[in-house]
Amino acid sequence: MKADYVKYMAERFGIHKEVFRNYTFRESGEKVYIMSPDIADKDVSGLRIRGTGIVFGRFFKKEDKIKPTTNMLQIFGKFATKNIVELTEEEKSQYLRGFDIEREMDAENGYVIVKHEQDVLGCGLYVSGSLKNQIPKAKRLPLEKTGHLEKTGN
Amino acid sequence: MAMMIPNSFRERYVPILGAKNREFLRFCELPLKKTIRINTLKVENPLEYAKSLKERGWILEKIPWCDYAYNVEGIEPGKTEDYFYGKIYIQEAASILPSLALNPKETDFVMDMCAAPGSKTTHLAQLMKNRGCIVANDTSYQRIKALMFNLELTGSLNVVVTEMDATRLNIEDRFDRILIDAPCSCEGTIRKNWKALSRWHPKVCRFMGSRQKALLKVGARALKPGGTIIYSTCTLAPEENEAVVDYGINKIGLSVEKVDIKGLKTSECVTEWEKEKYDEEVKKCARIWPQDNDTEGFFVAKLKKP
Repeated sequence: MKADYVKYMAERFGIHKEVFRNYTFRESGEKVYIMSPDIADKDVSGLRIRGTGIVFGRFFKKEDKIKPTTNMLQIFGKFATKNIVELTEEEKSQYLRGFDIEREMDAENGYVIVKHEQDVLGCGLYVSGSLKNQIPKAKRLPLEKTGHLEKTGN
Repeated sequence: MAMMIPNSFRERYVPILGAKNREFLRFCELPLKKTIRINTLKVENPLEYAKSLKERGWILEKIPWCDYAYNVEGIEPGKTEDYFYGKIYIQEAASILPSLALNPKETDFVMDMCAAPGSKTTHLAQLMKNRGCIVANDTSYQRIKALMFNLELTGSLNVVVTEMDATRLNIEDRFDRILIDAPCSCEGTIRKNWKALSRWHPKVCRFMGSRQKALLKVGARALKPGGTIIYSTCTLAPEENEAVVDYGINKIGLSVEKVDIKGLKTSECVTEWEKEKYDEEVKKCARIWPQDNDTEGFFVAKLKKP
């Protein structure tokens, strides 16, 4: 299982398997969690556990498909060497607010890492000429442009 | 806004504050500054990063007791890209204290008994550099969802989330350090939420106090001998602060250590309140009035298990 996810990250994004060497993976339903290794040897008996680490992605058995999460890619996406799409300033602003980006990009169809300069925005789904937004709704920025407050002129 | 402070509350702390009560009430009515904590799990050099924020027009004022926390003006930090990336976390300046006081080592096994929505948990993960392990507990799934959102946002990878009534925790001698940021009457949060005192009553403080003692008791049991508990609240009520620490000393057998945080102004703790006397040792705790550092009201105690 861990080997499958590490292999996916290597094949899809060119992230070297060494990057994940010290992490532990755990499956729960279709969700796959990734966590620090120190958790594994701790005594958690008698605790009602609801989650460990963060969600790495979702594994859809029927389709044999892995969907990486935005939060995970924000941590590990910086090690990627391929299937990265670089957005312009204007596109970044659109993408963080939940919009799709329509243009040809240098990526294979499927899940991609969306970046702007050094920052990883998160996950995207590229399908021939269109970047489908994969940022979870609860995480998107509000529609108005920036967090700067209007001057009230007092 | 002054109308929202009940009259009984306006007079409540005269026996402690005397003439300073007026200043206390004045600060209660002042809006609270917005504070950000820079998340070093995602930002390598917080100083340089703060500089870059300033270059982008952010007005920042460093929090004296934390090298990576700043008051922010002129911006809603929760609507910025920096927040989206998890580089900053919005957290009241006083609420940065409990995790600092707990001072976990990277290898520690830590429990955060009342964790949601995760301000202190994510701060602990940052202090532990995502090593060791934190058990972050809360009672309701609704609150736990917010906690999980924040763990994901900040990239906190060393956390086990549990859903339990912490007063029923049945664990012995297991954790190196425990944070009990206890549910309380929230008197100290009046500046953030002017409705905080809408249901305030001294009876609430006494009720919360008994819950908090129960929490401290199970927490002390779950702690390894020689381990450390930080007990904190965002209330000023002695029933929920010094009285709980007194109980920890005399009924549970914990000892108190001085809460010593550089750059923080603290006030004398209360040793006598409504005919009750508390152990002189409670003076080692940190009682923080809103007027002391221009923050929320807060209380932090550091306790050791023999």
